[in-house]
Amino acid sequence: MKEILDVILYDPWPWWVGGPLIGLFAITLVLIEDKQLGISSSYQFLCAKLLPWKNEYLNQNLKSISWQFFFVAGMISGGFFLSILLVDSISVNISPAAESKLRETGLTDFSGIVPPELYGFSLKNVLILLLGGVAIGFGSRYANGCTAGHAITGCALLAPSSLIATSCFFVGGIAATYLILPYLSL
Amino acid sequence: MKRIRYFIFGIIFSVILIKVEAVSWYRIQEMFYFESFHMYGVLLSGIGVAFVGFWLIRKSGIRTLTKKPLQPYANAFGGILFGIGWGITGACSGPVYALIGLQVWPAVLVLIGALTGTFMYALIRNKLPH
Repeated sequence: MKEILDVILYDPWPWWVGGPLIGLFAITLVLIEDKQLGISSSYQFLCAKLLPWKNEYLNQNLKSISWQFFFVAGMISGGFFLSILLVDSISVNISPAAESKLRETGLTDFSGIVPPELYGFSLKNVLILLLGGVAIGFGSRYANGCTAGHAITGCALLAPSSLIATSCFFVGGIAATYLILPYLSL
Repeated sequence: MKRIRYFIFGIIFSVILIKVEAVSWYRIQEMFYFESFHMYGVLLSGIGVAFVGFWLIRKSGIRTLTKKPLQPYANAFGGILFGIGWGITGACSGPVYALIGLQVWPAVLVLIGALTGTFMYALIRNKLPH
């Protein structure tokens, strides 16, 4: 029993465990809470609460998205619990082919969950991460959803809006990987 | 009570995303390089399972499920912009929170950026095509 627990806890899960769990999670959320999985509305909620004045867009439907505030607070806590439980055993396995492509762009450290060449506090990194964040926030609100609301929930409902948005997430992502990241000389 | 349940749901979702490595910048790059099936497997099997579940839910009528309204320009332009941010930071909305929890502190910058981006959208949305 202890061995099974160790595997579940310390080893990364294969896609055929994690993926179906995400699907089951979205179903359970609908059945128990009557909520459709989504995360980026939390940006709207936080923005509305932090802003000292009212904005028509930010303050609309606040009641119906407030659940996401507690949800993302849980997400932060979940990460925190795992980081304490697993300490240094969180690492990532990527394919050798992907690793060699990333080495060509100048990365050398593959030991952690994010590259230290990008996730650091140099002026350049701070700017890249802030601007990347702006694209995520602006883009997800403009598109009316993110990977959770559009790619998982929306695609599972075969919603045309979500199929368009999800395709475009990949267009933008592939553009960033091929046309932007190699020129940031991390 | 409801709030505690949402909080617990958040913990569970965060653990799933972390354990399946969806919060890793490297996995996201690997996906956009088409060098592994891993992330596609995660997304496709997740969507597949949810599809079956949602279909049964709609069929039985125990819950109403709503599709987001079609806004072709917004879905496309917003989607591309979101994708660029996803590709650069290697984190989408959920993983940003999970990374902060994992004490990857620079992820706080991504969240600050995302809130700034949301604010910018709120200011100029009336001038954008939807």
